[in-house]
Amino acid sequence: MDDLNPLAGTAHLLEEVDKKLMVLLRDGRTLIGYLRSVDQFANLVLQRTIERIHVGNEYGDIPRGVFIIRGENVVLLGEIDREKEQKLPLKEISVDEILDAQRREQEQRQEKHRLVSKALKERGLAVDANIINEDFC
Amino acid sequence: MDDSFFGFDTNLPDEDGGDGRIVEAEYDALNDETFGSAINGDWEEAHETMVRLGGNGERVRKRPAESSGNTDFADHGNGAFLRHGNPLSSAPSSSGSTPAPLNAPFRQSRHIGDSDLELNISSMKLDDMDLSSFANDSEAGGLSNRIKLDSGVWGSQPFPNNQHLFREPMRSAFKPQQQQQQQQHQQHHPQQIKPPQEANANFALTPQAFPKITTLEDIERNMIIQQAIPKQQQQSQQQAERKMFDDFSLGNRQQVPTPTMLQQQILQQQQHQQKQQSQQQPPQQAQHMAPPGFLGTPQTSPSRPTLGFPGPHPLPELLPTPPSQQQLNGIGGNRVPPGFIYPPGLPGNIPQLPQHPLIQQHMLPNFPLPGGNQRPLPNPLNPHALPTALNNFAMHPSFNAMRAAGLHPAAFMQPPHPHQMQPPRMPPHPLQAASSLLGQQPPSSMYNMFNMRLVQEIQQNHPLLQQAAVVRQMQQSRAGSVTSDRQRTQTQQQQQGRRPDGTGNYPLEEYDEYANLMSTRDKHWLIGIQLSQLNTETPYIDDYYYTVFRERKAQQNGQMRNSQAHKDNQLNHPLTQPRGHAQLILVQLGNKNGGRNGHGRERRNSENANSTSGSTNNGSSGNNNNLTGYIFSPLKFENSLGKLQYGSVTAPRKIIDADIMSGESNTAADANATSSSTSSTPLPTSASHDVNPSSMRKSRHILLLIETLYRYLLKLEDLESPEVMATIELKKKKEAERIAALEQLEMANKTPEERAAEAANPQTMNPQLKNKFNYEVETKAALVNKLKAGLAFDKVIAMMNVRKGKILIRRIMPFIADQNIRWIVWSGVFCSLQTVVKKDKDDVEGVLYALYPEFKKHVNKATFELIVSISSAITLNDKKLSGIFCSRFGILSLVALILRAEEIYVSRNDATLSEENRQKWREFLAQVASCLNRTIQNQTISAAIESDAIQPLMNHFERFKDLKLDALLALITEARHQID
Repeated sequence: MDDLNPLAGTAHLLEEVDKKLMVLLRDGRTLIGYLRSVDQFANLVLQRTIERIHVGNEYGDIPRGVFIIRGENVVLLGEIDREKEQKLPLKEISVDEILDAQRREQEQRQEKHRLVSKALKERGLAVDANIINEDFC
Repeated sequence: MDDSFFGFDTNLPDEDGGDGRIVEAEYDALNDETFGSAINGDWEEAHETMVRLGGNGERVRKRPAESSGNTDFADHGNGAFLRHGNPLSSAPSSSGSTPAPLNAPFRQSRHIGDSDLELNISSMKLDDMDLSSFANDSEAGGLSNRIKLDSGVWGSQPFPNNQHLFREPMRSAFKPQQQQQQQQHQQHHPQQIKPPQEANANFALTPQAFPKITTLEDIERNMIIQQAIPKQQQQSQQQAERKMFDDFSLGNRQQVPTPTMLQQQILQQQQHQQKQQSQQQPPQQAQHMAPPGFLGTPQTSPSRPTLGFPGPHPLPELLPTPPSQQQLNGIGGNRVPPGFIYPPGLPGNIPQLPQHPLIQQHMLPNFPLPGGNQRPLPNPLNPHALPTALNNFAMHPSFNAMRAAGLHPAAFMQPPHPHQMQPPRMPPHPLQAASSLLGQQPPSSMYNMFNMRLVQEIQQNHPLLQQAAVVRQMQQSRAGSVTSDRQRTQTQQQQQGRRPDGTGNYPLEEYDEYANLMSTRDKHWLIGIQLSQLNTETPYIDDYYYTVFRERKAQQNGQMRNSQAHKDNQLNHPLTQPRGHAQLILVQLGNKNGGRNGHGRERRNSENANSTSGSTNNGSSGNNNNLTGYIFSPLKFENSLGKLQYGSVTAPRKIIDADIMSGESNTAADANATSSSTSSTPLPTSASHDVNPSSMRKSRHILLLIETLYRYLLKLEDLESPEVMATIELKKKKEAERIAALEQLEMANKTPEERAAEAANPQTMNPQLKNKFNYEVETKAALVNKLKAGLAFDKVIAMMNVRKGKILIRRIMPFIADQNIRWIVWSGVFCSLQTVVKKDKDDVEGVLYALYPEFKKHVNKATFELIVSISSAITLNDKKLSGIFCSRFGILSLVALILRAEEIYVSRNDATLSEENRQKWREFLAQVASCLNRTIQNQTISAAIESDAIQPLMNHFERFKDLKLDALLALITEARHQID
């Protein structure tokens, strides 16, 4: 790569091409796949993509095939460490199970949100539903 | 033989010869159904007729030959091959069945006597048939070729006098060749030559050898006889036959696409010659005959289970086309792209290349292209190495680039043939070989044509496609059906497990069939885009930090290049001087966006932000510190929405500014007023009265001061280097040009009213017209004065507590070496020593110690009074840890001071060597002695003192014998011991 990399010292996606990457999208989805192509907008082409859903210590993979990601939707991406990937401390479960778990988790969150907003309302505070609805609360 | 024979898709409209009439004899000569299914070429009947006419039908034979005449070589040749194709191709498959025995019974003779009428009718019918059938071919020579077809088909001529059918030039052209080949053949295997095969090879050219037309039955019977050969024998032949077919198809592809029959027949001969040789050779030898780059082909080609035995062909219905016909028909078939010329007769001349694909990849490409054509034309000899997935690539505009980059998809998409029988033989990658040698790809029409051709090849020949039996559908929608095949290909490749080029984070053994989908060209393009944003002619200004960083690195590495910065400015910058293709892009892109540069790593970023507001101040008083007139204005980017909220790596100051300036607007205004009224007032007074209770704020002020001073320092350093100044001038000029051009453009588009309005209100001016590069070249004196304004005693003390402040002072020192203020600075340095040493005890980076050389230089010129004054600044309290003894800088400086004092004492010509100062010096030494005694010994640091400095020191201490300077001496001599 040296001979075609005059960008020494500069970060660029070309170094990630053909590597297995994890890409976090803006909507919170996590994709794992092999980066095949990028362009100047950081649009990505992932191949052999899986969408990985994490719930607690469990995760499930949904095969997605080839994934073309519009660059603006990428929050972060990083190379997967193949060695660490081998000994993942998480437990893989089936897609149905993980979807189920995810649904339950969301329900719990909504319930929590409902309780929080209710409590706040009782104290005369208005809550912006959008804030609490964030994934990160 | 590779699958181009079998795989040829007859559904593809093919004007020249893909009409699928004759072929199947090749693999299924006995299949009546196949024969019968010949569309309109009821050649059996025609042939029988010919046989019947053999005795008395010479006129029939003669007529068409004469009609053809000598006029149209092209048509004749074409047509002849069209007709000859079948037997030619069938010959190898039946491997010896074709040559009709000389004494074959002339069975058909019994029919001859039936009736003349029948004969006539049949002969007429022959004409009719030909007319109707050949009309489809739209070939002018069709009729005239009929006879040759027949004579050529069965490899024998009914009568010796049939020679006249062959024009003299042809014969004369062929014969030497023929003889030559025969000689070759004999040299190789003289004992193995069999007349029938020889005759077969030269079937059409040695009419005298077989003066008779053999009948169909004869042929069939012969074939049966041949096939009755024990299977062992056949199997032993199989490999050789495989090779033979490789050679054969190779030869076909190598045909010069010239329309002359002559050349084609030469090639034909060669092919057959090769074929026969390889037939008779053991496999190893057969390989030698195979041209390099072609050796592995059979792996990807359909296997030929029917070789030599009547096995059912796997793809009989799917392959109605006569591949032989097309292949032999050099012009007509789209086998060879126009302009795709290989030197004829090459196959025999090229030495064999190693067969291993990896080796082959690194070898030269298989065939030297004529005329030094260095284009990476993929080897057409083995198009079947390309899987169907290539269709997409080939049609992709950047396909060339992919190939040129040596990343040809074929490299990793090579399907093993399903019927592959000889697993160890790996397919070579001629495409890879070619592309690895030829790194560039000029866009060319020939290229595109080749691509199209390649697509066709693949579609027609790929075994998977044919097996899928979606041939017709494929042709209609090519891309559509590719997918499934590609998947299949994938799996096969995964089984094969070849790894073209391991990049990425795979374990090495893992195979990534889709690696390197991005071509080098694509990557270069991307890099070019990224680089274009960094491209600048004046990196010293636009990319200051990186440039200087590189320069320092180079210096560290011992690559002392004095004019690194200058070179950088000459587009030698690592960021602006990419190699190869990207550079070209850059040259194009860079010119367009020169004006957009400069927001990146420009060192004067923050200065630019405030310079517009502070410029008036600067103009009024050259000695004025910029700090006084500083009004924070947040940096804005053109065309950006909103304002920049946070500081960045390149401009961290905005964070500081935002805080300080907001809370300090009053004081700043005060200072502004003071300084503007009394412009000569040095900064320290104005800066000192805004001392804030908040130490945080104070430290930030120090940071700001450091930055301000740095700016002057950098300007001073710029002045030192003519190259840098040249760069700055260049930048200024460019900026001026840019603005002038913009203004011109603006003015051209504006009405006089608008111009007037703009003149009245400069604020409405296009922001693009503002000079973004307002580097004001100032004289050294002016800059030094500005520096001096910031170097008050207390400021130096404060600065010494900051790492970059220390560095700043070191770098400032050379510029104030002849200014008296340096002694103030040194006083400040020594005064701060106590805290500085405490803070950074080990001085790991040597930042403090780096001051010593400067001090040593300065102190050598110091008067005694100055020495005394500096010594008074040294903090010598009764604390246990004394900075002067606990740092190398401290001890060395102390020694340097004492040495200078001794020097002055010795010379006695210093005016300031007054009694008063002597007394002060004596007190200082006494203090040092007592302080050193109090200082914990193990805290002291022994510094490396020049050994020649010891004696003067001892002499000096002799002068003050009462002062108990033993400890100091001990400390110093201890250092000496260490040295020794």
